[in-house]
Amino acid sequence: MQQRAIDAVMRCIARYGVSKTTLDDVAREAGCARATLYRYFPNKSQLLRVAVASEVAALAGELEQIGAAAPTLDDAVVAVVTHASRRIVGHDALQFVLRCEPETLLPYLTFAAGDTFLAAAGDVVARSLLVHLPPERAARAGEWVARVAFAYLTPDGSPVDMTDERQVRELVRTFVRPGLPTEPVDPITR
Amino acid sequence: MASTDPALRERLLEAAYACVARFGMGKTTIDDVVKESSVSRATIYRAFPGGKDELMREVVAWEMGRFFGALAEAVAGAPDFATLVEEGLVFAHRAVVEHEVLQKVLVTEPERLLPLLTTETHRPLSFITGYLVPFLEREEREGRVWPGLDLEQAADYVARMLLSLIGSPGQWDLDDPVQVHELVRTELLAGVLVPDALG
Repeated sequence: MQQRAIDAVMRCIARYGVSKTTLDDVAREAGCARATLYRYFPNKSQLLRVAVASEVAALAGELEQIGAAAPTLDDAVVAVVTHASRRIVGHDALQFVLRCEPETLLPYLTFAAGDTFLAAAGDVVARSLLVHLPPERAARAGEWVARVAFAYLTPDGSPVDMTDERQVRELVRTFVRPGLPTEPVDPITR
Repeated sequence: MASTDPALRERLLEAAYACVARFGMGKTTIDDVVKESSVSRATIYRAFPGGKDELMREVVAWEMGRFFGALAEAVAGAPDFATLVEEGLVFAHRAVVEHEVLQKVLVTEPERLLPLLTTETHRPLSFITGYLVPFLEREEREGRVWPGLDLEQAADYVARMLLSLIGSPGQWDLDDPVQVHELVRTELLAGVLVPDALG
């Protein structure tokens, strides 16, 4: 039921946006009775919170597998960034909101809230790099790689198509990888 | 259609900014701007036919221009590129933290400002990139840039990452000169400058 509701709310948002989507729309889209849906999700915010958490967790799982399967750190960074970018760009509900109702999302992504968001995104990327880096280096690299991805995923286009593995590899090789410390942190100087 | 006299435009933008500082973006009206600038409604609408919406968009772009202009001035005397980036990052971070109007609007009405900031982001991005390229050219002439590096691409990378850090420092304490030094000489510039130029 939860997954049906999550899929349904994302389809509704892709069509009408967040503000105009009602729980009734979601119930109809999920093919269930309103009463059933309301039992699981008494209000829209709760459903949204669960849906976002679920999508993020799914992506995090994918990235961890992708990072672990990559032969080198460079390969892991490239694969993780490319995959995450494709999922983000291809997420219809997210793209609708960013294009048509940015004011609903931007307060969660920028300035002080941006620090929290980067910490979470960085953590997801860090976990995907743990096979290739000591934990403290993975944490630092995670945030930086997340930053780079978002910096080039700007809505009005950027010189690098982050969904194109070849272009991402070039960017990572030239600018990102040289700046990622990889040796274990010396416990004496920590 | 005759374009607006730049001095008049400047006066109106200053007045609109003062109104935003006092009343906020939502509550500022064209009549407030009339009072503040002593310019008639008719003249204001001739300068900004899109009314308040257009005026708010232009005020945001204008203040961003002032912010990055001040930043450029603050770092103009830097001896080398790495120091320029370091000083720029420190200055810009403090300027954001201490920007009273920005901080107030972020708390009271972020949903009004943030879409405008993000759609206007290409302006500081082009400005910073354009500003950095000549400095990189100087470093290249002195053999301090990685061979074969595309300087426009490098300036674009540094500009994007600087804007990201200025908006949200994340794990970095940008008030700590040791951390800023580390950040600039590693993540930001290790792919741009050769180790000798990183200091």
